[in-house]
Amino acid sequence: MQPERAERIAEIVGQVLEAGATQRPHNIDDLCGDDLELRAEVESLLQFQDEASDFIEAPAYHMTAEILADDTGALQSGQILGDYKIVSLLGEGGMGEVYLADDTTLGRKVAIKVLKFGLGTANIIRHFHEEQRILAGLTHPNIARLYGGAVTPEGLPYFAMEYVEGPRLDVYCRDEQVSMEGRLALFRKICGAVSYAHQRLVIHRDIKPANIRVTSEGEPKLLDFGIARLLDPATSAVPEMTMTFAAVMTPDYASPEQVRGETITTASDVYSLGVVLYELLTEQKPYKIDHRSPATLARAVTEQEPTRPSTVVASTSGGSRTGWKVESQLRGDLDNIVMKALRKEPERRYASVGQFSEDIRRYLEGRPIIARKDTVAYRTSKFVARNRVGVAAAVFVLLAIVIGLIASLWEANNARRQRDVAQRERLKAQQISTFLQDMLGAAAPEAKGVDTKVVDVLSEASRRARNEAVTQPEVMADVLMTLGRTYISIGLFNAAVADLQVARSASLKASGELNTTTATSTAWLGLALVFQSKLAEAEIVSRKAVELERKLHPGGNEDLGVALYSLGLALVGKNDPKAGEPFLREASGLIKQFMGEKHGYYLATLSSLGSAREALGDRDGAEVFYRRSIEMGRMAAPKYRIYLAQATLYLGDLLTSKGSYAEAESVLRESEAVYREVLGDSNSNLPVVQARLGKMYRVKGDYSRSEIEYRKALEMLPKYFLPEHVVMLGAIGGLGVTLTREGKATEGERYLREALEIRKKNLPPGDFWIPFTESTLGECLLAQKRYAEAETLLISGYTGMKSVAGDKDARVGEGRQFLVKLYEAWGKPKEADQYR
Amino acid sequence: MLLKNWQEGDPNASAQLMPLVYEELRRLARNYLQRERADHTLQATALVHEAYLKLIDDQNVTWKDRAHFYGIAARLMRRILVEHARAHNAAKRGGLEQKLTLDEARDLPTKGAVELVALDSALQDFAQSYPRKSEVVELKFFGGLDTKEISEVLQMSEKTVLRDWNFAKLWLCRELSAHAA
Repeated sequence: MQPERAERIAEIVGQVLEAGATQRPHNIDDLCGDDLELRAEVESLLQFQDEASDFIEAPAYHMTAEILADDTGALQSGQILGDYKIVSLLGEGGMGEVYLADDTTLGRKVAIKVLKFGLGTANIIRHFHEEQRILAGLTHPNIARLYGGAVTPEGLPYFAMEYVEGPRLDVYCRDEQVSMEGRLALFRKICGAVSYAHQRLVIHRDIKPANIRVTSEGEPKLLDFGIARLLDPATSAVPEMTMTFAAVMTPDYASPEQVRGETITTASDVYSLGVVLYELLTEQKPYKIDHRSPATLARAVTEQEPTRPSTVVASTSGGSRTGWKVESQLRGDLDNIVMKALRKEPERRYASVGQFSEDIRRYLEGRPIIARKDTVAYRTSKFVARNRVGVAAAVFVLLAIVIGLIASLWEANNARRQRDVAQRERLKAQQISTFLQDMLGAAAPEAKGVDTKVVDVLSEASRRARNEAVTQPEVMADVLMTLGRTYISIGLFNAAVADLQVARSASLKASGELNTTTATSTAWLGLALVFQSKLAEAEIVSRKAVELERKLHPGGNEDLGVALYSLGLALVGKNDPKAGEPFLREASGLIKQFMGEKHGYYLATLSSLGSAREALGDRDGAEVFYRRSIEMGRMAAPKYRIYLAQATLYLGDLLTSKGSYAEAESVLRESEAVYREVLGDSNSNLPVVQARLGKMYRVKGDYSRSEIEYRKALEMLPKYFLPEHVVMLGAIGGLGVTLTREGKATEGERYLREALEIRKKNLPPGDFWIPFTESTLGECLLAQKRYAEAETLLISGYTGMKSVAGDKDARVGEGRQFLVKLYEAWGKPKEADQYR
Repeated sequence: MLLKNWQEGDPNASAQLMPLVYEELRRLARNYLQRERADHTLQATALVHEAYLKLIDDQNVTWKDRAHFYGIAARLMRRILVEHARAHNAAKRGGLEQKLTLDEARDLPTKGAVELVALDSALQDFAQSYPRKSEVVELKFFGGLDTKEISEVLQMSEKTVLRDWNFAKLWLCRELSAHAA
């Protein structure tokens, strides 16, 4: 069509539309004239007026939102996602898609799992950030590592996981015709992995053969650890999605409580493992159902008793493919083991995956298994079940342990007459306590952002234990003592002191002084007090602890080591290194003997011995201790690396004072790096190290670097310390001195005056640091040629320092030198001579 | 800056912009479906504005950039939406359509729904005779712009925009019904 003609048509239609309906026919006649073709065209268009009124008024986007949102294939091959480059789609599951990708920085293959939109993405992302640290910390040869995760540009959460090449467990066993022993061995490795994760408060929740791959080396690897939790409706606050989720959750392997949407515990993983084992042994699923709809399966899981494995094999093994499925092998013990794992009631299954695995080992070794008899373990887990609280599952594991501890101690108490029963239970309680501390210590070294969930559980446990005060004071004391020690291991000293004090007085009242709990809680209370810098109180408590422990354990033990360490630290801290050192020496020996030389506390005793030697003026001796602590610390477990940071800080300081600046610098930088690594980018230790670096550079004569470090320190310090804190004052005054020597005396004066003012206000008259600061301020004024003002301060500083520290102290000597310089500059050689 | 490049004739700029616009579309689609945001976010205008703010270094933006941006964004959205509709239809025909359990929650307002693919090809025909008017359709229907914005982008009066729009609707309606018959 000619453009002019097209425009003419449009023009006429427009005019007709704008004219009122009544004028319309007339209009068309006028506008089209004799052109019948034109008229026909216009009229044919106008026929569609009604249809056109709503037509495409809503933007196209309206209609396609669904299609767009539904669009699968979240990632394209070649797409870059952080460090990862997508290679191809590996598969699609209920929860999302899995891609193969290259880690471009580390040059390894990874599996990227992108979660499907629609499962409460916002919640998933929030959970993901909470959990990621824990999940990424799962390092076990049979667990596919979670490397990390983030959110795609479109807002979909994704996880990067170790890519495991190899067939599914069931396929592998079938194709390779793995023997029964081989299958059990593979299965026990998986149990080991699950058990490891349970100790770190992670429940898998979706164990199934598809999530277990066997590598070319024949190693099983469990995938997707903890991922299911992120998607759990129970924690995602989108309750209406429960059914959807249940469908996604592979009900074949879901436990009855999972199907019912109840609280999920480690027992749920025991159940799922039971199903996996069932299939490995029989190559059948445990429930026989005609229509495999989710609903019938759910009913079977919750109500139907599975056929015993031996029966299944007996009915299907006619002309069997493999020779291993011997009915008689299965009948009896293996049947019992599988059936125990598959019990409907969580508390009647194996109490832990470890126990499950252990029973298989007993079976393999031909020893009696526990699957039939259920005694203490049964009662304990029943107690746990009765007292279940509706907390998140991972937290529940921990609570169960604590409650289990209460239960076993209670049993021990009741059975006091039966001596060895009591003994055994006590031992068990101790193991639980050690486990608890190790676990939490590993999960949260010192003060590094302790998981709030963990803290919540601990304070809940404290509260529960206190409820036992009247009926079972011994139990309460034991539990609170354990909790107190746990608090110390995660750096919550106030809570530690509170619990340990209650534990100690309750135990004292109930069992007297010469009692293990009394003595031990006293020892750890002393340590907590030292960490709180309550040195006088710490000294008294620790002396008592040492006395009690010596009586109770003449051969020494770990607790005596702790008590001696606290006492020594308190004394050194109170500026009495002579009295403190022998205690530290003894503590160091005991801790090495009973806790091992790779334990953090041993490293700490070495450092404290170094400090004591240094305080006694023996710098060479101190250096030896620091170096040993550093040497051990570099080999120590990650959770103890904080002690390496401490020792390097001490050594750096010492080397500064010895004039070994190059090594001092590298050691202090190591300290800075380790603190950063262990405690993150914002922690109170970083500015402390930076201030030390500032001092080191100044002493070395590198003033500009010194200024940089001090300023870095002063940026962070006020977040953690009050202005009158010694660390703050050290940095303020230190920067003042550096500025003076850098030729910025007027600026330095401000800092020095501030330091002097705060010190005068907060320190008792006669304290060394007041005249010391006067002297440095005098130096600053001297640099500004304000001789008269400088003279007053330098004299008052020098005499003040001398009266406290004596004439031989290096700082006093420096103060005297300033006086000499002053008088020389001032042109008063006679006065200068007086101070030479 | 992408848009500058595009203006200066960099053919890659449009290709680079496409995934960005696409991701924005998907993101908003999800938000809409989750009902996390009020209905107004469904407006494609908001989408274009957001994408625009995101993609443009606002210090260097001249009014002309903005007009160009809307133009290109609308065209990209048209491509994306139509391609997806096409893929979706193919999946349906192939019996690959998998109903998700959440589908009940996705009853969208489909008033005046049209077959996008057919509309797209009708619009292509329309553009042969009425290039400017087809631009109006593109901006309004695919880009979600309102009359005033279109008048700014195309530098013509609002009245003309409305006229073009009304005419285009008649034309396209007729074309589609002929196609359906």
